[in-house]
Amino acid sequence: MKASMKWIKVLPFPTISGSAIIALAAVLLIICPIHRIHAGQLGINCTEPAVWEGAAVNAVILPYTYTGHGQKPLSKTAKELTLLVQMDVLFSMLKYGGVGTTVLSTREIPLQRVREECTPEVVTAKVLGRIPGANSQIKSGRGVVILWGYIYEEGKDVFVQSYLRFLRRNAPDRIFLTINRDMPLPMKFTGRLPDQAFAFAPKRLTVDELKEIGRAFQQSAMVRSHPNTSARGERMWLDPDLPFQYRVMDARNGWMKIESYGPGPSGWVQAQVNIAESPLSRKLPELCFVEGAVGYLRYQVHIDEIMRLPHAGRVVQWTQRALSRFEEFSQKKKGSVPVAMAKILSGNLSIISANPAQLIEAVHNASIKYTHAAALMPYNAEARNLMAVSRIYLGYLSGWSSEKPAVIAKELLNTLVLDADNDAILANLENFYVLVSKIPEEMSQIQKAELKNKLSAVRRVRAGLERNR
Amino acid sequence: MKSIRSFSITFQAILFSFLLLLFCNTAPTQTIDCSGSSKSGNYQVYLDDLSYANVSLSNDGQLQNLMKRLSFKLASNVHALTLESTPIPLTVAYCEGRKPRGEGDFSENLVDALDDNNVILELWGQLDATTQNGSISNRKASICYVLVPVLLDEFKNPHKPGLQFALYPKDANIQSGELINLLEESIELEAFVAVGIGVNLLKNKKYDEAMKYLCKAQIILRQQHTGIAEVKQNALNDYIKQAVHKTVIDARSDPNYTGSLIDLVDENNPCP
Repeated sequence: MKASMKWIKVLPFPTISGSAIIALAAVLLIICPIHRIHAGQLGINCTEPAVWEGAAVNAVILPYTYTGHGQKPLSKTAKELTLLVQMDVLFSMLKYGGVGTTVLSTREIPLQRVREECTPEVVTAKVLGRIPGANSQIKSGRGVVILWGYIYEEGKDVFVQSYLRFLRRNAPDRIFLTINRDMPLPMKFTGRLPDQAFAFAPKRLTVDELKEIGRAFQQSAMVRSHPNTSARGERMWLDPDLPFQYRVMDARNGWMKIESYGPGPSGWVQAQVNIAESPLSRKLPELCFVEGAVGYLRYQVHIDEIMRLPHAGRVVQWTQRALSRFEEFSQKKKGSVPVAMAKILSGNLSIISANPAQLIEAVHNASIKYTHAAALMPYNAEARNLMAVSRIYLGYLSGWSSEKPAVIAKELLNTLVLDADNDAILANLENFYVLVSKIPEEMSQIQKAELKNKLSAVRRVRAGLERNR
Repeated sequence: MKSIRSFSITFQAILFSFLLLLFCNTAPTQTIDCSGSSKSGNYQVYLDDLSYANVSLSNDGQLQNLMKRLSFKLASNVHALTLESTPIPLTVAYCEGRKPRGEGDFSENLVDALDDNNVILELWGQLDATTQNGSISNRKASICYVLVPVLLDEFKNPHKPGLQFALYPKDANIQSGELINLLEESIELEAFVAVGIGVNLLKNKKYDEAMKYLCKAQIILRQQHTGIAEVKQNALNDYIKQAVHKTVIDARSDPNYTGSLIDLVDENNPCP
């Protein structure tokens, strides 16, 4: 029995809405030595967002702002938080190579225009080319991570609520696990990512903690004359009231050479290889997720051969570590969508990065993660479908000793109820019934007549869906 | 004395009649003016103002803080709802100055108008406390929800068992008042919106999608403690169960429907 999987993309991008205030404060591009992208300064604001077209993955960060339909000027704390988040994301992404980050600003834009045009929904639609208005767009097949959030300040406490959306343009996620790949009738089972936009659990920081984190960052983010820690260094310029504008001129061995466009120094800064070293990410675990999501998208762009990675194995390790740190720092409660998503991304990455000899073990590990994810969001058809697909694959390869087909059939039907016109789930069900129809009844524990009826029903439904398309 | 009582009764009767007249005259055109309200057919969540149970509480610093926290939390939670991929986009409208007092503020006409506007959920908050000898204690916040499609269904089918009014208070004591513990992860909000969307879809004969949202609500409410009074939550659970069953029955009797609910779903207990 032979099996394999590969990674492809389809699925329409879900719509979002909501408001957030955004504006350009800084634009940075991180480059990989083999993909030298010399990006100039972008003259953009939140009404005309821009991304780095040459990058495999862009991170667009919208400043943390206040909730509600009314807006007031951001406090120094809010600006500092945004700046620190941006720096954290920037430095954690650098190691992947071929990625860029943009922070948008509302500076000098009339409030009404900010309300209408600077929402995450509108900015996303613009950078993906769904509506006009972006100075530059994400290219087809490449990834984007959009982070935004709300803050609430009370005395010395700062409450932070972050949101994230991540996707690839024209290349949504699907995994295929193929059974009998080299046989005349290979059988393909499909899994897809659940929603790729969600809220993180709110977090509380204190103003003093933020200051401490800022100080620690400035200590570690020294701009040095040469790419080594013993070279002469100057502190990085961090002022939330001044636009932070650098261009990355070069990158090598975990260092990037930046050229300042403002009052800050130019020189070499060291990338953060492990985000867990960042004190901010302990307070805001979503930053670990951002690091993981960027790595996940970066790896997909690599395997689709749009922009290859010279160090793909390490990217997988870094991504897995970031996702696992996110889980570690997050509360694992029922209904925790981000934790479930971290498990699913980790499971998918295990599978897509596995070589043929490791595939069964990778699917086994992924299956455990999918099962946990499905338990965290049992109402989500895609999470349950991923779990079912991995079980079918493992069950088949074990000669159905690991799990009885009747149990899997029940799970697939449960999954179908939660998304009754989902053709991927229907196709999995059809393939599964065909597969099981070839084994003895005592092994499948499904009566032949029932199997036949269900198979006919699935085919009828699929034909009806096809007619209605 | 008798004449005073008689006057009082008469006055009350006149006042009641006047209010009734006023209500009847205005009811057919009742609307709520909310900033960001969508006319484009989007699903909508109306977020009303927070208020104090009585004016004397408004000077209490702790309650003022609680109000700000709740305001932040409600707004950030409803924003999270808009991220989910729904058949029609879901948007949030802020209804400044609107402070419903309870069930009485939701006439059938108003609920009908809200439903016509695709409003799925309206919510607001009220802060209360115990005042004794000038000191304030036992500070609380209640969040009230109206599930518009469910309420409308109830108006139109009064014989139905289940909710009389979908109004759910949830308490949050400020003494243990970590903001983060208030309305944790908006799980009940998510369930309420799912019910509203599911009922709306069922009404529009979108059976597959209705099943998805109704099952989601059922699963969440089955697994999570929402802080809603048990009797209310049980009533809502029963209502959802009936709606799920109705979805399967209606789909099977609809000659235009050819989907999965005909042969691939257990009619009696479809949701996993």
